[in-house]
Amino acid sequence: MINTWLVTVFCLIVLSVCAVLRVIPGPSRDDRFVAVNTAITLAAGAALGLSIYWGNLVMLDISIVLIALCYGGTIAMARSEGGEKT
Amino acid sequence: MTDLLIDATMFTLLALSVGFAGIGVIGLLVFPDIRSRMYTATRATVISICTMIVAVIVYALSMIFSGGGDQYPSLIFHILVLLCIVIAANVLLYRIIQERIKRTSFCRVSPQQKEERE
Repeated sequence: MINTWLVTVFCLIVLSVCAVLRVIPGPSRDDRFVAVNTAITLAAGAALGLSIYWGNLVMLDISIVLIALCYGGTIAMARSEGGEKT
Repeated sequence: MTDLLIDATMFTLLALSVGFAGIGVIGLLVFPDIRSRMYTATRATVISICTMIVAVIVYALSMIFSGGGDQYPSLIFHILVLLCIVIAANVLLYRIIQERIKRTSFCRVSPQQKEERE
C-alpha cells in the first residue's frame, strides 16, 4: 500500500528542487532570495512529513534547527545590501 | 468510521498541501515580475505548510485519543515551534525584499516620468 506521508514528502522534495533550480537564472538577488525562501519552506514541510513517516522526533528537532539556521542565513544575506544591483 | 474520517481528513489536507506547494512553485517559475512571484511563492508555500501542520495535528490528536504515548503532545509542541519559525522568517524576508523593491523602483523613475507625475 502506498503511504500518503511518503508520497507527500516525495512531491514536496521534487517541488523544492524545482525552486532551487529557479535560483540559477536569477536574474536579480531578490529573485534568488525568494526562490531560496520557497525552497526552505517546502523542505521544512518535507522534513516534517519524513519525521512522521519514520516516527522519529529527533529528526524533527534536527530539521527545525537546520531550517532556523537556513532562514537566519537567508535573512542576514537579504539585509546586507552587497555590491550587486537588484 | 472514525478512523476512516480521520484518514480522509488527513489525505485531503496533505493533497491540499501538495497542491498549494505546486501553485507556489509554478508561480515562481511562470510569473514575469518579482512582485507577483514573491506574492504567490511566499503565500502559497506558507498555506501549504500550514495545511501540512494541521494534518499532523489531526494525526497526533487521533493518536492521543486512541491511547497513544507521550510523544504526541511533544510532537504538537514541536510543530507549533516550526510553524512560528516559518511564519516569522517568511514575514521578515517578505518585508525586507518588498522595501528594497519599493526603494529601487522609486530610484529608477526617469526625469520624464517625474515631470509627468508632477
